[in-house]
Amino acid sequence: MSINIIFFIIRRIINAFVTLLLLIIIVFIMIHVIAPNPLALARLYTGPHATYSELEQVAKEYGLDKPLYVQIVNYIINVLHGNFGIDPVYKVPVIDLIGKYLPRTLELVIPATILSVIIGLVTGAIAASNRNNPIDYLVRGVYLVTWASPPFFVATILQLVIAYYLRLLPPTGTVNPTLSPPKSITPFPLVNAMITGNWPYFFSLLHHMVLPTVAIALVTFGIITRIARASMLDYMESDFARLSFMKGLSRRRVVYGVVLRNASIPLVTLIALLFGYSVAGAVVIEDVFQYHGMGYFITQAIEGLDYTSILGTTLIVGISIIIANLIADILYGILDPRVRIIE
Amino acid sequence: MLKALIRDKAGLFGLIIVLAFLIWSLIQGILEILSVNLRKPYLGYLLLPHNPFKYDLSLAFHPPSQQFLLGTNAEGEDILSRILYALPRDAFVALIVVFSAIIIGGILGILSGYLGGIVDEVIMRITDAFLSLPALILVIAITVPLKATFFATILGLAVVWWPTYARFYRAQTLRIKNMDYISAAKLSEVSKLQLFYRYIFLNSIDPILAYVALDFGNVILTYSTLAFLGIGITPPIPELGEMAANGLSGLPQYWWWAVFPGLTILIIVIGFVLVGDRLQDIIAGRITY
Amino acid sequence: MLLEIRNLNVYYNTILGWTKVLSDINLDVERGEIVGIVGESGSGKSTLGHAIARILPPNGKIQGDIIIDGVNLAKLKDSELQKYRGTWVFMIFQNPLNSLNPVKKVGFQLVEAAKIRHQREGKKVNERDLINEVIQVLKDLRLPDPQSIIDRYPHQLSGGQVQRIVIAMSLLLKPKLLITDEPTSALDVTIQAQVINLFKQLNKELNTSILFITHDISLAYVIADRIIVMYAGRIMEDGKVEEVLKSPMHPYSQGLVSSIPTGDKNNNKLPAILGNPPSFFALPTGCKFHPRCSKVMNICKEKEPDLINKNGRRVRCWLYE
Repeated sequence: MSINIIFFIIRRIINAFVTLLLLIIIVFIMIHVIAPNPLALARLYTGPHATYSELEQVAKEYGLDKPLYVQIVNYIINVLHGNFGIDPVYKVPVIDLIGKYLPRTLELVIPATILSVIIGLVTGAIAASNRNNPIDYLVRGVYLVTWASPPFFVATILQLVIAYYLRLLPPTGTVNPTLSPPKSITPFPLVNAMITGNWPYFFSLLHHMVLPTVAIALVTFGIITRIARASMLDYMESDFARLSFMKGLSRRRVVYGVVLRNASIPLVTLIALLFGYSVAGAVVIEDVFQYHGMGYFITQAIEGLDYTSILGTTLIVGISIIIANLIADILYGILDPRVRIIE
Repeated sequence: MLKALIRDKAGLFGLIIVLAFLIWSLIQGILEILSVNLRKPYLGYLLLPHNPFKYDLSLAFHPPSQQFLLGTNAEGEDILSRILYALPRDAFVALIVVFSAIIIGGILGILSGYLGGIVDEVIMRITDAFLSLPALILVIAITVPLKATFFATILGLAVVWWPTYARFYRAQTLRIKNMDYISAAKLSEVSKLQLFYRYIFLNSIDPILAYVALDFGNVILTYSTLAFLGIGITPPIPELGEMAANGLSGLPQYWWWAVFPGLTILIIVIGFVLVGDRLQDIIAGRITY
Repeated sequence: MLLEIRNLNVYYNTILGWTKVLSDINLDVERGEIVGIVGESGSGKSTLGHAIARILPPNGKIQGDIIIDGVNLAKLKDSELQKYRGTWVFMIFQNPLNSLNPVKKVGFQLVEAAKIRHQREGKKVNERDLINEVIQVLKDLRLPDPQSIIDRYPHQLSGGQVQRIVIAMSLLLKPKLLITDEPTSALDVTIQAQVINLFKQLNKELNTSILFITHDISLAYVIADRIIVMYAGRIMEDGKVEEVLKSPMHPYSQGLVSSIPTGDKNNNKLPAILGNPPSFFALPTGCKFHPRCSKVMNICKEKEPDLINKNGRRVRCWLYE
């Protein structure tokens, strides 16, 4: 690990931090535009059904009557400590709820992103090496349809066909409710089940995870396929690809080993974007499958016009995406040796 | 350019879908507005096979038949009619959001590119921050405290949609700024405003046309997803996303309620994507930088 | 005879339909012979090289026979061809900096080539031996510090070094026929001379036949035993390099030879061949060179001459029939 790579990473982290700060400030401004006075602000925290005295109390408690510059500092400090306020419905800190639901969604989104990248790269490679053949058109047709579908449609069709018609997997739910959950050692239920050896629970979780994960991957892979195909077509005509071919390497080796390996590098930058789309898709897809993750949490919050939770969620999503961006940047540096030295 | 668009089969197919969608939305939209203003409700469903609001529990959950082409929902309302009634709203939202995004993004992008310095830095940072979040999440964050009304939704979408255009116009401005005809225009005392509008803004329309076509589809996707979550709907007026959400309760036996609204959106968005793709091919062949 | 090309025609499928870009190519190359293929841009020389290596783009079609050591490559399918690429025929491209895989170390790519050679010969190999072989070859090519070069990435090396690596690959693959397409035009003049010597070295050590494709006839003179002049996808002249350069027979060859700068201070004007090579979509009638020929006759406009043997050479010109 040369010193270059370390500087590279540090610069990226600082960048990420600045963006995060900016995000918090923007959200803060938005809130204050929407709720210009302390009482309106208080209502955001308590929900629409609070009484006047409750509002006053909340306003005092959160310092909502203090001048703006004080508020913004308080707000930033609060956010950085994970204090997003109290959920008015469940009467527990929002951060606790997020801590409960977020890992479940991550258990969907992370595999879905990986799956999406793999499907995208492979289909992109297949389409590129069969340029303008029926196979190429088939691949493009498939990703056109999945890309243009609203996520709830993909989820619904998947549910209908696989769960209801073919009865291969359960249609709804997070886990079989009759099973007893394992101890929560880590925030991730799947990991907990694995660690404690609670295999029935583990497999039940997996069963319920498959369809939502596949749905998310289906909705998002299209953009990877499209760009992978274009990138590969470019690289297939490159001199080094042709030289590798001329050397005597098999066509398959050249396409997947040489061309894909090079063409996939620019795609790493898309991973963060993909992650964002996956999260957005997850919100709706979880609803269709009644999978109790962040999507479920957000849906409930929308129904109850619970702004505190929405705000906390938005910030958490923002942070996750910034982290995903960071990982993608670092990955790029690992994959492409040319970048490391230049920085 | 239109001829080139038509020559390709996929582009032609897409264009037909888009035009059908837009023309229908225009006609039906006018009828709906008239029906409200003139207090003559029947105008709203003049062209529809059935009255979309007609409550008749005895007709509930009818499968697709000759009478009800796409079936009925839990309240016996004809799904096809409801879909047709809901379409103008999507067109309206798409048009307003995209155009305001172009204008806001255009102004900010051109300013950013032309002035440079701190202004540029600030605007670009804000753009990055917006782009780092998926549109859906940001719009939810904006509309919920505004009580998630239809108006709030349009506002939310417009606020979130401009960053990509800002980036684009900034890049265009930077490119054109250094070209000779700007210096020539400056010398001949063309006003700054004219400069921005005619030389930069109008000249940038070509390359962004393909993206705009795709963007209409994107707005419709996001909007319908918001409707699915219950944002932006005004019952009893039907919304495609909302219908799909309600339809979930009818799964699996009464699948048509959940499936057809989503299918409609799919078809419309495919139309825009095909047109956008075709436009992109055409433009790519034409532009010489 | 190592390479025999019989009645080779190459077509490209373009927007205007199938277009013939190589016509009636008949050509022999002996083992260990270096043949220079010379012509202006658009003469078809590059296409000829790509056709022999069977690496034409997907819209290209071959008709005719390309026989190397008894095997007719033109009749083989892509999958069958693969076992001949590299060890029977190898091609080096113009720009060395783009010729290597940017994300893999140079050593890895060279070992790959060596491995392919050994596998084709049916020998089992281990990594250590391959690496040693690679280092030896790099030493032969006089690359400094081979041990550390094999750990480098292509972008860390200079153009000349990279071209040497590609030639090293040729030394490891030991092809019977090496086709080089303008291998020096992207390099400095000083490096050019070194690279030319390396090719000669390759030819001497391994008896590799070389097809040296270039637009620079004086470069061909330095390296080739024989020279072939191409125009509009046809062979115009084919003979020993000293003979062709001292007394070129075809008017086009004469033009090319007299345009070589001689450093003669008294002769200020370089005679140029007027006009441009024709587009393959609109070839002239009769002899394809006649619009630019200073010795044109009536028959040249009507009928295309055949490639005939004359004075130990082949030439396609009505002047000699």
